Amino acid sequence: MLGKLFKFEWKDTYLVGTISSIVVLVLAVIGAVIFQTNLWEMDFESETAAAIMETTISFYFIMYMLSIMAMAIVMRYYFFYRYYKNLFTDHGYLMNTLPVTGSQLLKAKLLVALIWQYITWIVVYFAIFILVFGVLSGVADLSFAEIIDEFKEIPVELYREMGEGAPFLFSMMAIILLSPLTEILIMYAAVGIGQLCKKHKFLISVLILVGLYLARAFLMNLAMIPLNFILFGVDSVWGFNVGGIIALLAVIALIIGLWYANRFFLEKKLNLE
Amino acid sequence: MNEQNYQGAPMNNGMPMNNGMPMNGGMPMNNGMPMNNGMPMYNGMPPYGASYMNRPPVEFVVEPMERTGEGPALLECRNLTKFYDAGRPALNQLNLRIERGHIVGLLGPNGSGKTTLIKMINGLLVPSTGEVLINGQRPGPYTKSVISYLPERTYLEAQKDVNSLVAFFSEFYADFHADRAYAMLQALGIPSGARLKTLSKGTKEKVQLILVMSRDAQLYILDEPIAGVDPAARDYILRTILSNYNPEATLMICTHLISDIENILDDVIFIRNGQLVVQSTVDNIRGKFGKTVDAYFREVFAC
Repeated sequence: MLGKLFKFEWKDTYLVGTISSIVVLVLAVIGAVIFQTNLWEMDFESETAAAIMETTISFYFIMYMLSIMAMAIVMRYYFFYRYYKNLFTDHGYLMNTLPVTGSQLLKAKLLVALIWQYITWIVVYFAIFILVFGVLSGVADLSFAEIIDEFKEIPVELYREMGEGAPFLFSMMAIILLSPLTEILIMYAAVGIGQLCKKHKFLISVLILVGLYLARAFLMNLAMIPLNFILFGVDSVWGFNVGGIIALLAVIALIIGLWYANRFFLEKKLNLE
Repeated sequence: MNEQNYQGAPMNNGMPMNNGMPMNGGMPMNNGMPMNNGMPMYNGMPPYGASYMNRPPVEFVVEPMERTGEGPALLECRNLTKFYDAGRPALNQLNLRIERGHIVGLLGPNGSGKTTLIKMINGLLVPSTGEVLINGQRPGPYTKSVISYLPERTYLEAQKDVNSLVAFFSEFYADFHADRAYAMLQALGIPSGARLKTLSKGTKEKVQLILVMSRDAQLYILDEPIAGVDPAARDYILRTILSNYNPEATLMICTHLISDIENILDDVIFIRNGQLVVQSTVDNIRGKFGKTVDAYFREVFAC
């Protein structure tokens, strides 16, 4: 049943992600072409033509930046709204009466949302890479192979600088990779709590989401105070490493806690209107 | 029960008859009084409302259904209670047993607890106390696989077309018959390629009903199946229900349009303020009180 739920969830959501990805990538390719052709350095006989070109290029960059930000925001909060709409409004009468467990519903939705978060990352970074490639090849006149070599140097350089701090680096990378999962589970928990209310369930879910973000930020800062004293005071590299591992363990604990909380809301506290 | 039974005269073919006498399938006797384990008895008076003091007393009858097999009842509610907040419970210590092979009308005024009961049977709400059992099991994937539920609202995604909805039901319900669904869609002239948002409210309700009735479920629960359609279409819908439901199954219909469905009912359940006040066969109500169910309902729930 999980496979079937996943299939239908994917079919219902792929269009939004696909369209967003295409828009971002097309804008990135246009940018790369602009840099390749050095349009802004062209001499225009007419000042008006030059002004129009300058405005167009500026407009393009605004669109490019907005499209990347929009995709990241849309792809996150689309799944927040969809989770609410699909499980806790009228559609919930269908989804929650399917012969599946609450855990299967949660897994299917989580997995699809998570895949789209990673696709969004890849698309956004790829779009940035395309533009950077355009700049480096058009402005700095580097070949594709030289650009790739430059990028390859980044992790080598990072390891050289942070050799002893590998555990810290590993922990930070793991936290970054887990962050979409944490974010989705927090959003789902906000919906799960919000749907317990009698009215304005979605609005309350949004407020709870903001509250959860603030609470997380507060607790993280609070946790950093003793860590700063205990760990960083002793040995900076050792302190970073231990601090990183503790932070990773805290994130894993948060994910497990949020998973069970979301299951609880779906299986024990469902409150459809 | 088959389609021919729905031709005007009340019939009860194939259903347990009680010849107008109270039945008691192993449950405590209540001598015509409303029964509610552990709760106050009402001595022939409705449980709430001082205005009833000036009326002639209305006799209530609670006759649990006869057992139809050795195994657990198809549906059993034990001391079922639901509080939405600190106030009066939406359901209050409700005890109810429904067996296989019946068409049951679940009736009651607005706010009586009917929809709360239906939601709990379908696992959409969790009881505050007590339990609901379907074939002896609490609501979960198994019970959802044997219940076919039609909510009183449009619960299908508006942007989906009818074909994809049929495919969806086919995937998730092993007892769903796509051929039956398409035959009914064709009979009603509903284009299977049409998106739901392009259909009228009444047609959407027909699509929902078709999907629900295309299953071979053990328990069909229809919440206001005819409320949103015109009177001419109601007859067709009732015939559709009767001709498509599995006679071994039980059909529970919740509606305010009692006179429209009265002739297809075998049993009725009246709920008031979250408590069971009447459970009886239709024949018994007619025989004992000389009234239609509609008239008896109006008397019991008179304002």
